[in-house]
Amino acid sequence: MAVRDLESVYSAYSRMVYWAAYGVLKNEADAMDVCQSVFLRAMKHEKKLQTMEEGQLKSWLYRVAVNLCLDGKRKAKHEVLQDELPETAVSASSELPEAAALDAETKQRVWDAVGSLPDIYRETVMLHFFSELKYDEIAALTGVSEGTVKSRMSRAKERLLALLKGGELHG
Amino acid sequence: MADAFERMMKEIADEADKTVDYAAMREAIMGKAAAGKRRRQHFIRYGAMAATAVILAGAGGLFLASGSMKSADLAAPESVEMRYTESSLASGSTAESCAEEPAAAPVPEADTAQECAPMESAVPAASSVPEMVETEQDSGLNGAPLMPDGAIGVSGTEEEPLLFYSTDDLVDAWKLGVGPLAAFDTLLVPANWAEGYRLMEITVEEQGISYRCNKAAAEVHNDEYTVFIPDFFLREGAEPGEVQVLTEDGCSLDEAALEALHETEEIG
Repeated sequence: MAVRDLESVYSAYSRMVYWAAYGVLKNEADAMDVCQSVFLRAMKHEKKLQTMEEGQLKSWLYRVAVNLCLDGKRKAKHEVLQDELPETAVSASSELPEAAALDAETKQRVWDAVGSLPDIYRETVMLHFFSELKYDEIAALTGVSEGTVKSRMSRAKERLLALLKGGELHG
Repeated sequence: MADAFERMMKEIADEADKTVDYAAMREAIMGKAAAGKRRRQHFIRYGAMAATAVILAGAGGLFLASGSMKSADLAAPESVEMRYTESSLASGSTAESCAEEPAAAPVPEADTAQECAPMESAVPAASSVPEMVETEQDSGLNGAPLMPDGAIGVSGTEEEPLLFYSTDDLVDAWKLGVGPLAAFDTLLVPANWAEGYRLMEITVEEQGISYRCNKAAAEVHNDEYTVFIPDFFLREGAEPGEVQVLTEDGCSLDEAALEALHETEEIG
């Protein structure tokens, strides 16, 4: 049984929770709200968290995040998807040699393309690239087989590449 | 190409993640947690004082009411203790004769007390006392029930006393296949709330069960709420006890937030 404090839980999983929420809500502020709610609940159930294995904890956090997102969406009168994309830190990217190849316009096109993906593909992309989860972890969290995750990722890539067709990076 | 794509996505993801202010979010979480703790402490402190006052007032009222009942008419509705005595003791007992006293036959107060007292004392204390304790404790502000934390009250009619279901009970009932523990025209009251909500709709959804309710005084307040129990909390090994109340505009409130709203009288 792993002994962990909330600080370490937050450090380890805040990124996963935030981007999982963002993948559903596509809104920065809402994702932050959900992320905060998730960790407030984690604080409330601190004792229970102590007894969880790493995988269980990850699953618990993810499920709570997604449930909160879905609850909010279900009750919303009309869903407003504003596609508020985070400001990309162009200056930071200049520190990375590879990042210099990506200009702001290309990044924006990628963001738009990711945002336009069907939910199941966007979820997979967000969990893999943004939440940094492996395929088997995504499979465990979303309740599908690893093969399904790979298949979804493959189709998501196809769609993204199709949407970005003509871009310099994908030839 | 796949590698280039992977690198590009990874790079964009990392870059986007750098713009997320996790430290500020962490501070906000800590702030909210501290505020929630303060609210709960205040609620418990002042709620306990209010409950004590109501219990004392209720006990006084019961005392006065019982006095007037005895002096006015013996044919008043039989008490719980009377019913218990009737069913548990052999026929021909003094209690039975007390209960079956004709309505139009008033009995002098002193005689009544002398006849009934022995039988009341014969009722096991464990059976009769809890009834009284429950009645007293259930009295809350505005005459509505005061319930323990994590409980939801459900009542068949407004006249009947509220039954208390904890969220654990709701979840257990679901697991046993009983289904949603409420029916239409029932009242549903979040924990520690002194106001009733009329249940309007039960929806068993893929994500859980929703109990949609409106304020009992619907003609005054049109606020609608849904007590939603996510399916995650219905599954084996999950943590029950978390009930959300969702407003119609999609805003999600937990119990602490509800208490805060109640305190500031934004609702009710």
